[in-house]
Amino acid sequence: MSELTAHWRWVALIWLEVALAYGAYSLYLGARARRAGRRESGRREGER
Amino acid sequence: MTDPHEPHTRPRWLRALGLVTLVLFLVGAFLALAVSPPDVNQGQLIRMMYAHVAVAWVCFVAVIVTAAYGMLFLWRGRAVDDSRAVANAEVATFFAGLTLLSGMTYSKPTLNTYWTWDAKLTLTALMFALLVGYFVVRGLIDEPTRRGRVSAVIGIIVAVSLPFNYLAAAWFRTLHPTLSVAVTGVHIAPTMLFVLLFNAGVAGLVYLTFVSERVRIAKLEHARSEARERRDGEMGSGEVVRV
Repeated sequence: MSELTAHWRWVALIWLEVALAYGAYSLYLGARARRAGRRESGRREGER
Repeated sequence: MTDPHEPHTRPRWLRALGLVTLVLFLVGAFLALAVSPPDVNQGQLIRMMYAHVAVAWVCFVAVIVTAAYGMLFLWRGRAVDDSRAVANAEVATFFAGLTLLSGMTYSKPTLNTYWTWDAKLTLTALMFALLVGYFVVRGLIDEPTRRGRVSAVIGIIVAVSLPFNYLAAAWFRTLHPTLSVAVTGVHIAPTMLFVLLFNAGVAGLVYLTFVSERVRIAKLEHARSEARERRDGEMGSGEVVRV
């Protein structure tokens, strides 16, 4: 593997890391919001 | 605006912000990977710098905002300030972890090691550990006011460490490169500076999106907690729910 190819692999790796981290945290927030929202709307249904 | 009939749905502006941020992230990645020229010393590896430095800068901003809301809570004692401090602390912890991970990835091909216990890296690891400690301490204290006060102090301590962290590369012998963008001047080519600032701006938008969503979740969870406390009060039993 040439040095240039190796460098590009590292470059791809760091950008992939950042993109995956953003995606994973977004999914976590989405799941947490859905859970909180579901309980909140469930409570409202119960109050009615 | 949030739909008044569906308060738990994500507001339209937040969805738009998320979409714009995603598009700009892709533009930023394109600028870093295709537009930025290779560096005279690092060659193509300079394209890693735009990802790492942007994340690190935003981590610093998140820590400062955490401390600011912590100070507001110590001053005014309003639960909303504590709630915002927690939201920022969580996002700061995320960015601190990502700073460490991306820093190690950047370090291996450029400095031939993933990690070394020099001043800059140790202070960053300490910052991450303190941010994790912030949540450990919150988990140990039930009384909301005391919990908010103690965690606010931890947030302020983390913020106090930031100037040392930022200037560690200049003050101490460290493997970490010296500052390219500093108060004393800018030491990189204009195209590279533009790509760096663009990616830092995008990371700032990511931070803004995450914090806005996290604050919204805190409001939903707080409403749930209050409803439960009311219900438990009516039934004659109590349960503490942390937000």
